[in-house]
Amino acid sequence: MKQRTSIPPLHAQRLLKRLLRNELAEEVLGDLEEKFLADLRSTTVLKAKLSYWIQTLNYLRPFALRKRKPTRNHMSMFQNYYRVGIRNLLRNKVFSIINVSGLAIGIACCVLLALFIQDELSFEKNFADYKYIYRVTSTLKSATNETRLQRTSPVIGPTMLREFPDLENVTRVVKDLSAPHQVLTYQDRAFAQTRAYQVDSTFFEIFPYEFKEGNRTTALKEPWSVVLSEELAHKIFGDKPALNELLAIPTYSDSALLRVTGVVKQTQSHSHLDADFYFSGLEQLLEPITTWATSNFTFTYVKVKPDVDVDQLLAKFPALMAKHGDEENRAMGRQKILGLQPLQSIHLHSTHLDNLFELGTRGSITYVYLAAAIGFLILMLAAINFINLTTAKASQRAREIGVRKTVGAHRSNLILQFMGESIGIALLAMLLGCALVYLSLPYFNHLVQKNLFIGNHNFFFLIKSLTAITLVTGFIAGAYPALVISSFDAIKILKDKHLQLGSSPTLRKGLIAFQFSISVILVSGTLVVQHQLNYIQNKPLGFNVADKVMVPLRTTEASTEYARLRETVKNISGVKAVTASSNAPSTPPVSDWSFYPTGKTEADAINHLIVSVDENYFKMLSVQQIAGRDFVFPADGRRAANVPQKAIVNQASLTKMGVPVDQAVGTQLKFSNSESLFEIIGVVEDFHQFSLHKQIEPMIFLASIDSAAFRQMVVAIDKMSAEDTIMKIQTAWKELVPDTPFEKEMLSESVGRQYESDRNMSALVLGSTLLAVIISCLGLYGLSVFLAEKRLKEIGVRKVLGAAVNQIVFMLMLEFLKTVAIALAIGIPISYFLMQQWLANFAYRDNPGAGLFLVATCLCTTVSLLTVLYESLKAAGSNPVNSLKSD
Amino acid sequence: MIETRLGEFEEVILLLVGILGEGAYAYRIAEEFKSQTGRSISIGATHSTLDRLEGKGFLKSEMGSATAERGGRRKRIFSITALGKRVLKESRDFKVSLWEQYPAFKVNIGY
Repeated sequence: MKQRTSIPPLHAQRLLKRLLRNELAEEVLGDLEEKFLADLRSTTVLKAKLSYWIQTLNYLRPFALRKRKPTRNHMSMFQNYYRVGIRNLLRNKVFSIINVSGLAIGIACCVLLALFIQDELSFEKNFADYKYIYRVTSTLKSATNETRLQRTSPVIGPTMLREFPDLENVTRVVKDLSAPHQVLTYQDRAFAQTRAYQVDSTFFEIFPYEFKEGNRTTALKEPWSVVLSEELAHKIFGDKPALNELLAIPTYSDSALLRVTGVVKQTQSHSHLDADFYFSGLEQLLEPITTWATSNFTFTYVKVKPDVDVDQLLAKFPALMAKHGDEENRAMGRQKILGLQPLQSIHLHSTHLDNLFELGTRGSITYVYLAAAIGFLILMLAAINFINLTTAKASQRAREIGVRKTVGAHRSNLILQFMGESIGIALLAMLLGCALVYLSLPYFNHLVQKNLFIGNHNFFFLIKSLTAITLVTGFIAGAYPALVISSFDAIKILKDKHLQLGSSPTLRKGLIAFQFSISVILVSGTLVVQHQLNYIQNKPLGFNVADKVMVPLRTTEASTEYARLRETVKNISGVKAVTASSNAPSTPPVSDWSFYPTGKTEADAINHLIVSVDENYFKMLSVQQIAGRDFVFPADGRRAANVPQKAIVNQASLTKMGVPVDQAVGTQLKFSNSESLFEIIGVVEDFHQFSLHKQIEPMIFLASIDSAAFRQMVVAIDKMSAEDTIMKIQTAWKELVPDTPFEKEMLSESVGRQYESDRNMSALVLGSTLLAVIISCLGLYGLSVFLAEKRLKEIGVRKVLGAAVNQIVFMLMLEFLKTVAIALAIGIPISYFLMQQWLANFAYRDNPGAGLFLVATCLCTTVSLLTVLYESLKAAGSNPVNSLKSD
Repeated sequence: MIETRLGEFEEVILLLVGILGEGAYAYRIAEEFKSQTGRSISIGATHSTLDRLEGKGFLKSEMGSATAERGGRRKRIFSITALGKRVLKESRDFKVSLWEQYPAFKVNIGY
């Protein structure tokens, strides 16, 4: 025991041996041990050991430490690294091109998607106080269903401002929801604008847009004022000032002129409230509407004071609703719950809200995640390629490493060389990638329907992320040769000619398998998306969209003239039929009214969409009648006291109300909150008023002889002379409705527009899949070149011994096939899972069968085999003499 | 201006090497320093100074014989070179000349 403790601390000794110069170690250890023994005699073991440690640490001085690097001029060595690196790039041209271009494509793709994501996330951030602004939402809850709206009743906003001192300001926005365009006329020119909002005078106080012309604070104070966007102002007035010019909005008011009181400056950032023009007078328009339960068409924004706790504010809402709207809500048989949605979450986080009406185009956080995932995956693919190819190639440079070591290269020199080389190549790829971004940005903008560009707002973000991406990829790719190969013994490398170097085959195969799994996921994803979109496009909608022209009746002038219009248009050659309705398919009826059969109570009331129709509506749209009869005009359109109004419902309505089809005809319906009675005279088959994202909702159709109820005229035309016929309709229109500009849209276009975001996603997925497959194939090709080269001698020997070309090709391909098989086994289930998630967005979907995944499998396998085939054939066909003569 | 190229601590160490003669190795010198000055000093610091003095050419060193006491390890024995001796002497002369120029002490110094 005593013997053991009299030994100086071993760790300290080890530390000294490790760190001290070789020639010093002996004497220092000797001196320290002598002191230690002396200490042992005078003090305790512990103190002696402690003293030994102190002495040890005191030896960590520059003079005593081992010199890491001999100081010498490195410049010529760096020049050599550079030259060798360039030579290597040039020697393996195919390799280098694949390597650099693959990474460049990956980086470019990643940058584009990053721009997209950044743009999506930038919404509303231009308003300084965006954190304090909220939108008032309403949830309508009845016993049977729940509707969440991003809108509320007009009276609620101003009341909140009056009753809650926590609020700083309130503003309301209304968009004519049934019309895709608002029309603006200046002198004799008309401009149809999709984004036109009527707003409260406080609008620009809460949303401080910058003004190019006019004064923000006073712009909307007067009724009949209009504020234009810079773009629209330029379109109408050119370079002339727009201020105080007079415009008309016939879709809003037939006669009044509006004064331009401001022009909003165009900015790079976005808001869902960005519009072509804003006009005032909303206060006056909404004043008479005092309901607390219905008329939920007003977008209401509140700005809270900075130190307000929003949860506490929300807690006050139920009391407010109870105080003012309790009676009304009870009469409607439902609850109305108010909520607040933070301004910055409107663009991306509104999918849980009613998607029929929204200001601006709504984004989706799902797409942002999707874009991020795709960008990341593609970058991964490219980086893996780069790593795989670089490491594979590095094994060919084992001899160089051996020689360098022999002539005195330290390991740190080799690490520096290989790291530097791979980071250098990655930088080259980055430059190429930037050029690609520059070239492809216009196409990408078209694809995602955005106007992205590189400017001050994102330049540094891009530079930072690009540098990070490049450095990390270059570092990882360089790590293997730098750290592993440099550790090999120089003698071993030089002596053993056939030393198998290069990254371990398992690692390489693993990376390839991973890469191909991603490709498989993307390929099958593309197929599923296409499949679903095809399904949507071909699924019977329950009505016939073909050859129908929709002509919006926007103004009172137009709707009052409808009857005469119909008679004129009917007689145009090429017109098959004319009808009208308040809401043709793909246009949303504003309705939150509930019906229930007599004999049941208000609690059982079912929310219905109400559509007023003209004669022949169902016949023209080829909607099948399954019970009862069609409307008879004008008898069914007349309204009389004490006589139930005639109504036609759809199947969904009967199912929800629990009325069997055979008993439907004659059933009387009560309209909640009123004495009115309705009598079902017919039942039509369900058809898709909206997109296939949504379930078919209960609908009730009423005959109308008052054309004021109609918002669109629908004209069935002959396909052969469509253009001509539309021209004639326009002429007739100009004659009868001279003050309202003629607009038209094919019903099929309008229906198709509902799938715009799906098509965008499809394009995005398709594009990225193509890229992913290209990148994977590049990598696979590069590796097949490398492997075939490596096995050239083996192939030679096999051929000499009598192997046939096809046997050798088979042998070479089998190696890849195994890897691809593993990739498929991983990729397909993941893909299946992911696609199920996406399909859940559709109320109507066709689940992809095994066949689809089989196709994806075949596609991937075929493409990968074709990629490998060329090199395999070349290797198998080569003359064995060439490969063997040198040995 | 005379360049001494010798710090105070260096001078003491150099003198100690001279005093210790054959027994001048790092540990021994550090011990001697402690007993002569009463100040404790680490072997590492001593060794660092010795190394520096050797670098300046005032000291030379060679490996001595092994002793069982040190686990059979050899010592490095330092000795003063001719240059070292001269520098020591110059340093003393320089200081003495300074002392002599200081009137307050002039009388008391018996050189």
